[in-house]
Amino acid sequence: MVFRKYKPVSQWGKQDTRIFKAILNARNARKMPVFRVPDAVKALGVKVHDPTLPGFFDSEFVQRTEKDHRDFSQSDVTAHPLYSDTPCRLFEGSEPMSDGVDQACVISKAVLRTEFPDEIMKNALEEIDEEKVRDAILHGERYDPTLEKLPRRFDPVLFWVKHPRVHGTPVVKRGNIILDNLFRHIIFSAIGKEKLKPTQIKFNRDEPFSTTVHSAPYFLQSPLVIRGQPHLTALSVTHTTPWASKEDVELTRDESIASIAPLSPLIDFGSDHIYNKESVVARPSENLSLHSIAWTREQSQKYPWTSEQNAANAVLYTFGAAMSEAMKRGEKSLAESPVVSRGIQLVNGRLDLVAVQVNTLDLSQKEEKKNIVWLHKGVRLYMTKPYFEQMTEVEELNMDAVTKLSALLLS
Amino acid sequence: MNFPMHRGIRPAARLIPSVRFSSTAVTETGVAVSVVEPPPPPTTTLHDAAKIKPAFNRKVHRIHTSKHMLQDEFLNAGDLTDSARLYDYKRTGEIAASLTNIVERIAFVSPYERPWTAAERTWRRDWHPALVAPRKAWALPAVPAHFDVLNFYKYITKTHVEQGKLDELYKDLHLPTRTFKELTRASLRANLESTAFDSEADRTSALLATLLDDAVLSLVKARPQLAEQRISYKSKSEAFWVRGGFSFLYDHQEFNEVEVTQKIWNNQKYTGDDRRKLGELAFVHRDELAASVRSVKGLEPMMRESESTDVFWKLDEGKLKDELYSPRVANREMCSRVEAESHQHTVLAVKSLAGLPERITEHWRMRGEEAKETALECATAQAVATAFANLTATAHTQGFTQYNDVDAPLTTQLVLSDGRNFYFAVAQLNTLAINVELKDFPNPRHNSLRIEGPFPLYDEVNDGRFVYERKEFGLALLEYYSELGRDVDEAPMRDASSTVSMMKWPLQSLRNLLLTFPILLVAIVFWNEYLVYYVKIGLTCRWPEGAEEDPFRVFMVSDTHLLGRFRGHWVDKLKREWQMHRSYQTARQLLQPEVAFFLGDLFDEGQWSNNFLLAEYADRFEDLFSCESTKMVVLPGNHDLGFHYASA
Repeated sequence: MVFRKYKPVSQWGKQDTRIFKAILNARNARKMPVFRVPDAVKALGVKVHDPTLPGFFDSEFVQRTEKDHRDFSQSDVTAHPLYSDTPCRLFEGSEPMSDGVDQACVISKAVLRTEFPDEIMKNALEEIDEEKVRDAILHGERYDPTLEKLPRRFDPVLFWVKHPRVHGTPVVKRGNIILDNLFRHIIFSAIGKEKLKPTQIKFNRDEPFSTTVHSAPYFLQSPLVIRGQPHLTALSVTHTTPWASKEDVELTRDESIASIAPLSPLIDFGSDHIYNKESVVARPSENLSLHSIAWTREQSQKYPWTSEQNAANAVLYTFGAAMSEAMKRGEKSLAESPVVSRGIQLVNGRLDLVAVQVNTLDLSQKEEKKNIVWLHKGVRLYMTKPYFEQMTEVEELNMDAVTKLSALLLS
Repeated sequence: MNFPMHRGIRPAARLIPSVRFSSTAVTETGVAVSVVEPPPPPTTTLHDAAKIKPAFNRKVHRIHTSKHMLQDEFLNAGDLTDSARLYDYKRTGEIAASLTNIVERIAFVSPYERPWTAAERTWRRDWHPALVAPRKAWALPAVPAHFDVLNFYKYITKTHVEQGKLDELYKDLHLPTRTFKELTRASLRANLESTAFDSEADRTSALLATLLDDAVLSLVKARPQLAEQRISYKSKSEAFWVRGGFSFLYDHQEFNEVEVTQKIWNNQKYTGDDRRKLGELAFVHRDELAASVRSVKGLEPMMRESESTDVFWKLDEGKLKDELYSPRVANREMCSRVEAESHQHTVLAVKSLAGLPERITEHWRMRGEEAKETALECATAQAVATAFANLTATAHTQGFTQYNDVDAPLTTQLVLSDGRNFYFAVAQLNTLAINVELKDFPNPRHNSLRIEGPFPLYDEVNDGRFVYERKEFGLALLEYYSELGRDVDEAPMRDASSTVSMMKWPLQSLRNLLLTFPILLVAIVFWNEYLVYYVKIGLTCRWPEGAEEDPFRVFMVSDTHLLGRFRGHWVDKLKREWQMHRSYQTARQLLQPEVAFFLGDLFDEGQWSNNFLLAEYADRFEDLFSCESTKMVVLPGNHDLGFHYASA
């Protein structure tokens, strides 16, 4: 006898299969009552189609359903209210500028200054409480109780390791909290020292803006569209004073813009048919001028941008904001009082501080007057930790960055 | 007694006399952190625990009912009471107090139990303990999901709620509001015009945050300390707590039986309860605030103890069973904000109620007064949940737990709004020890909340609901809004030490209305106490028709029973005599009788009076009823002449 170590709990064999097949056949052979349309449906007066009739799927009813129903319809881009036949050159901060700040200067027809003017630096707040700045940073990095699922960690060396997912405050939100706190601290200090009136400046959060530029030499056929959603948009009741005097602006005629040849300045722009043809700004119905924008950018884990590319991003965004304000005022007004807008970008604990003065809306070679960009690139504010680690203390805090920020905001 | 720290076997427990464990200090690096002072030796509690210590093998629940006399057990005195549970509670409190690290302490008292790992599930064998499902907590939604949850929320947070004005809590505060109004008008207009929002909830949150910005910006010069506060936008707020008193959920009544017994054994554990089926449910509230203001120093208690100890919503078990809705159960880690930061106290929480109006009108299909009442009730319920969760998180941050109750009240302020209607509330956390309900553990303290509202920010439109998409409506309302603001420009507003009532200025017109209240009060008193006699008697009393030309008119009055010195309160006396005097004299003036007969029982206490008192009573009687034009004939009754004792 065959020794069987394990005895099955119950018998299973062909008899069971035979029984089950018989049950299934009996069930299939069972006659179902003929379907009749219920009286309630008849009372509604609904037309009932019999799908068992030949030619049902060729009937007009089915054809119409397939034509009209949204599940069968193809999405039509041209139906979009913002659709335009002419594609635009689109910049929305998703692609880095290959040649960095120089490329941004070429686009914006601007000469570059790497230091803020002395008159501007005189506006800086002298006594800034370092503890408050530390606290402002820790508020975003440590104290914020948000527990969202953070992105998957990518280790460029041990790329095959699957790291556990951690929860916490997203990097962009951390940066936005820090920007909020720094802005508030500087504005409150200025109000306390009567450098600023409470009604002079107004804030909007996460307000989108879009600027459309039609100008030679690059954007005559396809307009340049710069759009984004900075976390903070500060608007001023009064026009801000130009940073460069008329004489300094005239001197720019003799300066040359950096060359990025053989690269085309347009290689990093996207293309889209859906865009705003007019500028979109915050609080359009109020007579306000755009003062500054501030936002946070998160570095990609696999393809981090260089500091040049980050700075170019800040310059182009600020240029877009300044152009929207300048186009609102018009070319004639610019000759008297050029537009100045400021941009603050926080990336990985570093600040890109930008001020753009738009002296002319004409970006072609005919007009020799140029715009001016002041840029402090990648100023270290504090040393960050990777997003998956908890910061407990602020390390390498640079108060000079806060001083420059205050000068930028209060100028 | 050993309490293993691994999952599931943590004892749920109770209070130790409260001691403040945490304080703020500055480290060498200059960072303000919260440090934990070692707790004092728990001599008192150990003593208490020793006294109430039950037999070592006693369980929390009693043994099941015996089926025959051989199974009868004769419990000792300790087991007849709740001493086992109380001992457990106090012992857990001791352990919690001995944990000097606040994060560890909160983790110890948290009802969270991690789920079983794959290895534990795979390798468990029959001789291992059963894999009981981890304890879950009832998660309160961000906005009440049901229209009658107020009582339920009040019970699970042990909060006494009162509707009332908050002005008396903010006396002597006069802050400038002109700038705030200017900024608010502009911000509201910008908010309505903006196309940046995907939903009305986002729009409401942004509006509330901007209003807070405006308030702080306009006040910071007058109140520089506002610059020291920590302001957060779209900030999360989470807290867990355990509420006792749900043991009735295990009540069981056999068919045809009168007696209700507790069916503990062979009965499923109720969701959120401790695994020992103690009737102590875990709750968690994950709130998202539109904005919050936190400060280093907490607010002073605003509500007196006497105000918060008189009335409390009683647990109606039958009703509560109906109100225990199926919850959204949370199994994620029930964390609280226990980071040792300097700004621990939430001074002001701004909460968006976006979605509630749609829920009321479209989902629950309520209209008119019913919709208004429901909106108020839901806003109150949400205020209770938000305030309690915030204050509990603050208490946890400072090291207080349900076993180590707060030693001083914690106070916070709330602003709730659905974008149009604003509610203002002040809440006070007086106790956290609400997780056991035992006779031997009386805890008379409860939490308090006072709420005022709703106050519409702008006027209604015709259909009763503001439509943001319709720009012309928004602008029309803004005009009204501006007019409203102009009216109150000159009136300084009383305000809180923080910004809470800076947003109350649209209410000034209501206050102006209330100024007419004293005049209204005088008019009401004059009508009810004087004029009404003339109206009533003049309209309803007249002499019979068809009398002779010169009739003889007589009043018959009896049993005036004027109260004397001994019986009756003076208010009662005053009221009765005024009413008798006024009605008699009014009738006499209008009907002009020749004679009035008083048929005895003039006084109530005549039988106890001597000559002196009798003369005093008679003088008063004369003051009340005498008149020159009407002759009085007065007869004494038994109450005037010594009652029935006179003959004895």
